[in-house]
Amino acid sequence: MSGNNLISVTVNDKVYQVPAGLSIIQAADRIGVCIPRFCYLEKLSPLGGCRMCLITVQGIPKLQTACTTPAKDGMVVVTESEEIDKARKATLELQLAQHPLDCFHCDKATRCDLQDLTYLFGDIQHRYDFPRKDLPTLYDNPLIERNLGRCVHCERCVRVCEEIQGADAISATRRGRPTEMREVPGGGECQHCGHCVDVCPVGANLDRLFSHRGRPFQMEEGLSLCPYCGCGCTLSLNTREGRIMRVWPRGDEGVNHGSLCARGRFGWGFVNHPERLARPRIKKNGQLVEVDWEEALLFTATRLEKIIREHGPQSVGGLGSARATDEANYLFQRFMRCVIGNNNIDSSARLGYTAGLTGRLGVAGDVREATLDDVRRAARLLVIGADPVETNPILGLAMKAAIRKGATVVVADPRTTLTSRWASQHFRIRPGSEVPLILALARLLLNERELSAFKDADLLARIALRSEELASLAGMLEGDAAEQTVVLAGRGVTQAPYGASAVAALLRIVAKRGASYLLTVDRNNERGSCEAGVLPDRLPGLAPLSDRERFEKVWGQKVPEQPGLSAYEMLQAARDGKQKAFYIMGENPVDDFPDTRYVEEALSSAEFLVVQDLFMTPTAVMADVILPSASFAEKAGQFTNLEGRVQPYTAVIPPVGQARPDARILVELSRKMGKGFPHKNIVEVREEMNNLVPMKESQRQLACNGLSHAVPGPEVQWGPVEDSDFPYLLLTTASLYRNGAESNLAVGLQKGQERAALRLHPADAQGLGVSDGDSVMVTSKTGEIQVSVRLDDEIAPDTLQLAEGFSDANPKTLFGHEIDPVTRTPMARYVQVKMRKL
Amino acid sequence: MSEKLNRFIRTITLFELLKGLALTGSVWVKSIVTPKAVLVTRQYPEEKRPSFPAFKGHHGFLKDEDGSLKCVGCGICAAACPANAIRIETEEGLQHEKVVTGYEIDAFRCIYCGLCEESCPKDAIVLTQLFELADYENRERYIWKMDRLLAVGEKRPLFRDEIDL
Ligand code: SF4
Ligand code: SF4
Ligand code: SF4
Ligand code: SF4
Ligand code: SF4
Ligand code: FES
Repeated sequence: MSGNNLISVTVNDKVYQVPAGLSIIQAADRIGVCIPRFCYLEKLSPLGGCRMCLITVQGIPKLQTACTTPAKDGMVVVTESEEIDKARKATLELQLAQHPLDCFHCDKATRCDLQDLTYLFGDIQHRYDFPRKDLPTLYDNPLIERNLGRCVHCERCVRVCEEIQGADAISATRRGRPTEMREVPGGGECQHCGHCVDVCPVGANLDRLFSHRGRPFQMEEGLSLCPYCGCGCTLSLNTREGRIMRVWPRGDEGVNHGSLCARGRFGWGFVNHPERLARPRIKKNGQLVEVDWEEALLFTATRLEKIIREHGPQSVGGLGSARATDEANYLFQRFMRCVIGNNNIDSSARLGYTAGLTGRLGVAGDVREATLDDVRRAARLLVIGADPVETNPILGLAMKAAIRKGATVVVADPRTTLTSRWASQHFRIRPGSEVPLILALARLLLNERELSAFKDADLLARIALRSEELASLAGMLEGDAAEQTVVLAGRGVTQAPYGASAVAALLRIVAKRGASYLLTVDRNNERGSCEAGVLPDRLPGLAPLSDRERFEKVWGQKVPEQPGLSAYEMLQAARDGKQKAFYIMGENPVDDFPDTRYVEEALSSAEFLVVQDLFMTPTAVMADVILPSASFAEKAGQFTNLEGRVQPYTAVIPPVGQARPDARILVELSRKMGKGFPHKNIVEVREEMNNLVPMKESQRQLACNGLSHAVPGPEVQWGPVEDSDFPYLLLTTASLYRNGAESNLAVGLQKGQERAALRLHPADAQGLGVSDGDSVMVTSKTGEIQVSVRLDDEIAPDTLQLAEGFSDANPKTLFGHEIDPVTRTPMARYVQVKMRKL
Repeated sequence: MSEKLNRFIRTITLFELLKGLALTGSVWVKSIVTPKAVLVTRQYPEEKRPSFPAFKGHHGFLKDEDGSLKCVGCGICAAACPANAIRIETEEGLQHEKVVTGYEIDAFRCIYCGLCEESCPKDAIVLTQLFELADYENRERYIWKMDRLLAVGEKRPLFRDEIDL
């Protein structure tokens, strides 16, 4: 801070230099003078309502509230005196006179500001004798208890819900003493972020999953990372006797700056779930039976060796995990490459990040990647085919923070999403036209001749955009403010045909205009798994296979030269009888990959299937060996978030039963197979990995091949072909409450939303004769699902929206298995269906 | 010289020996003539004396007048316990009330300081006069669960044979 921005204030007879523009309480916090407060919170707008922060400012006769009085140069402030003490005690006395005082039962006790301040001030009188507030405790929110009687009316919850979460779910009803902070009909819908629980200084808003299950002082706290989406939020796990009791953010730590979404906060229930796999199992006479580790590992090693002997190393395929740590993925690819001897390595990142990466690798030179903080500061946000509010809620919060500072947000998406509801403008482009839209933008902004294969009018009609609209979209990337423009792209782009070309085109625009970009990432370590080398054609650090000598030297083992198969190519090879075995580490392709039946048939035609997982997933059920692995809280490692930030973390609780961390399983199996890895612990793995991949960034630059991706010709069919047998178009979305198999077993997320809901326009519902909550059967060419409907008049007629991730109605069943030839990603954004009432 | 002579006489008359025997004899006579109850050495376990009322022995758990548990599961005793011997489990009941579902004293850890009793705001836990804590069998017998504590709290036995634990 330069000298000009400092002012001097005298606090309690001492002179301090503080930055200008602060309130007195902010200045006091920075110089370490403690002023008591209820309503003030740094991240919220000041309210000045509780009158705990009273202080004296020289020259002003009455006491002032420190949270609303700006600190000025030369100000003389006193924060402690008899007069101030008396005033603060009077405030406390009034609070206590109405307070229920049931600290024995209150889950906030010992972390309660009212308790702390009462102890601090000691002798508080009791002169009032009005009846204690007899207010109810509300349980209408499935995850948050609102004990109205304990409320001190600080309105932190109201402000945080409005200002940070943007949900506007709580408001202050009635006035004066009986004021109630509650969710009112007609207000916003609660998104279960739990902010209101965190900020409440007393036990008025409480986490219901924790309700009466222990006292705060009995908890141990350990830092960890959220296992759900690509934001990589820092979590503080409150554990007791090796079990997670509750989760909250810790202070302002982490990329999430003290915020969490419903999944991070309430989604931990799977960790100590009774259905967790506790012992290895192998298939004997068609039955999965529990065995010990030694037997399971020996069995796996013998069977794999036999298959390699009989059918060659190419007959084994492996899926690493977009959920597992960087280290586990690194060991996994080394296992596949050196121990098995092929490059058939992929993961569920194939459905998302890999396609974007393929596009990125096609662009030479620097393209600025935005961080979450860049998004918070952005002046303009262009969101294409992405719904960060649901896929990456903390990125969604960053977007909302930018909007609050005046940013313009333009969304181009065929769906109506929580993100599009926040946009200043939402272009509802035709389903499947994200890629042509980007190519049209590229044509406009890059003047590339190769793109002239498209006639503008023609193309725009397909996208369902007018040329002025395209111009206004392009306008987001023009002018001086382009530098503060962040382009967010998601699976709408990467799961489309020619998705890599579109990403490459987008990045070239971004680079030319000086803007920055960020790809939304659905799973926590999609990016890390790719960068650790879980790709059929790239080694760790995204090094090309031609670079393998360097790796062979360190590993002392041979790396095969031939590029491997991607996920769907492996599945096809299995169906063709060429692929005999699969090693699946922490993935559940039966549920997560499009075309469920195709995937099931492929896996069941393999001779030998090894699954390493936490639960008996539909994939694990088919396995010949199941190796129980440790959950995120039970192992150490690092995750790479959507910004590319590498975040190490440590284990907080011991693994359930005999479950073992993925990395340990791989090391032991490699030893059983006679090509043992030397690592003794996770740190050695990390060191080896970091030495090989010294600077992830520069490595990525080196690996760029600068190739310009194929530009689609005019004959390409964008979006669905009309088919009168299947009159509706189903679009997939993401849900705040689900993200993979674990989320379906987390009790908190089940409470947040129990079942999948198919959103459709009331007109369509009327035509079908269904109303809210009715069940329908949705049928596509490949499969059918039963699901209940929810009417939503913001959804385009003739389209249906269904969130992925709910195990009761999985839209993946409805999709086919065609893959894009470049990204080798299956298309699973839209599908034509018919529907009948049940 | 007289010192030496003195010692010589004491030695040949076995004075010291007789002195000791006199003490032995007097105790012997006393033990015959005094009533049994006043004896200092007691024939434990045949003969037992109750511990003093302030003795800190086996924990007991108390109920209030309507027969419900006094303990509200506040955990203060566990926080006060210097030996970390108390484990409390609570859950939310059907009416959202707090239910104490488990309360354990680890008798191996407890140092019988009585801080739990002293800290309990509900007078729910007491250290009773029951001092016979030794047990055969396994470690499990030394983790005193709620039913055992309630039984002791209700009966307030002075000796182990008054209660079936
Ligand atoms: S809110 Fe604080 S003061 Fe009120 S009952 Fe709970 S712990 Fe006690
Ligand atoms: S949980 Fe979040 S959305 Fe729900 S009321 Fe609290 S702050 Fe608002
Ligand atoms: S519920 Fe808590 S945060 Fe909300 S106004 Fe009351 S005391 Fe403040
Ligand atoms: S799901 Fe994503 S946004 Fe939500 S807490 Fe986890 S990492 Fe953060
Ligand atoms: S015994 Fe007393 S101090 Fe211990 S939890 Fe029960 S009520 Fe609280
Ligand atoms: S903290 Fe200043 S009035 Fe509440």
